[in-house]
Amino acid sequence: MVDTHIILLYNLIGIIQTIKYINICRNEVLTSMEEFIQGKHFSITDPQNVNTVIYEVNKTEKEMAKNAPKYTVERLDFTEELVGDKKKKTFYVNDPKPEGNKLVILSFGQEKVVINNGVLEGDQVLITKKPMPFKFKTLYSEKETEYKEVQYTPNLKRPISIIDPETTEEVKPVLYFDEKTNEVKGKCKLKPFKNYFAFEIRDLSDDSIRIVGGNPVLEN
Amino acid sequence: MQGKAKPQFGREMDPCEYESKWANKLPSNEIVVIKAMDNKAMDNKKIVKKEVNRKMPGDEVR
Repeated sequence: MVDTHIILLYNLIGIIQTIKYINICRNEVLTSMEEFIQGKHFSITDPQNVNTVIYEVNKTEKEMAKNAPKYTVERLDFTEELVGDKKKKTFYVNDPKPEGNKLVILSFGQEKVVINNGVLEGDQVLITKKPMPFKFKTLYSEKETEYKEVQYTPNLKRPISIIDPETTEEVKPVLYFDEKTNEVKGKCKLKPFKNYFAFEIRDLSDDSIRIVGGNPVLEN
Repeated sequence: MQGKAKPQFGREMDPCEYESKWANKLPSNEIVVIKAMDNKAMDNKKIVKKEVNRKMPGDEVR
């Protein structure tokens, strides 16, 4: 009889410990979910035949700036849903900053890209009313070309983005180690008879931004 | 054919140069304001969609 009570007590302690353990696991899962879903999102609606992509612009921190690009760009994740014949896109900023997140907004149409800027500040995104259109000029290359000089910061962010205007997908560089300069760099293959739009940040301050873009032209 | 220098935007054509004040430095009549929300307020379906989107291939290492 006493043995039975002891066995029951041991079982009861075991069950309590198991429940405690499950609760600890559940809290850890909830914490990691919260970490995953932190950040902000905002939505814009693209008219027909317009495809908008947004980049966050960053100034490289002083500690990393030596021999590294001064400014880097990183495309925002997005989801999209059809609303009638228009596309509603929701963009995600994973790391909202107290001083605001600087954004470059590129809206690709059939023959042009419209360049604009915005800033995520708290619970709002401010966007200028004066975007600048840039019409693509046909500058086809008849051969496949390779651009090998995409620089990276030590935390693997890059200053340049090369975009296929038809799909708005980025041409992702393949990383390699340049033994001559002792640096990690990226190289991109550009297909013949195809337009690309490339841009990089030339100057950046708390007040203003200067971007240079166009077809990437390579020196031989 | 390999590129040895930085891409020369505009070497053979007019470059596209965009220079502007940041939107938060402009007066309110020159900007549009869009509401931004916490991701915590999103429903699970959209978070799952975001997870799928994040699985797009990144820069490769070779």
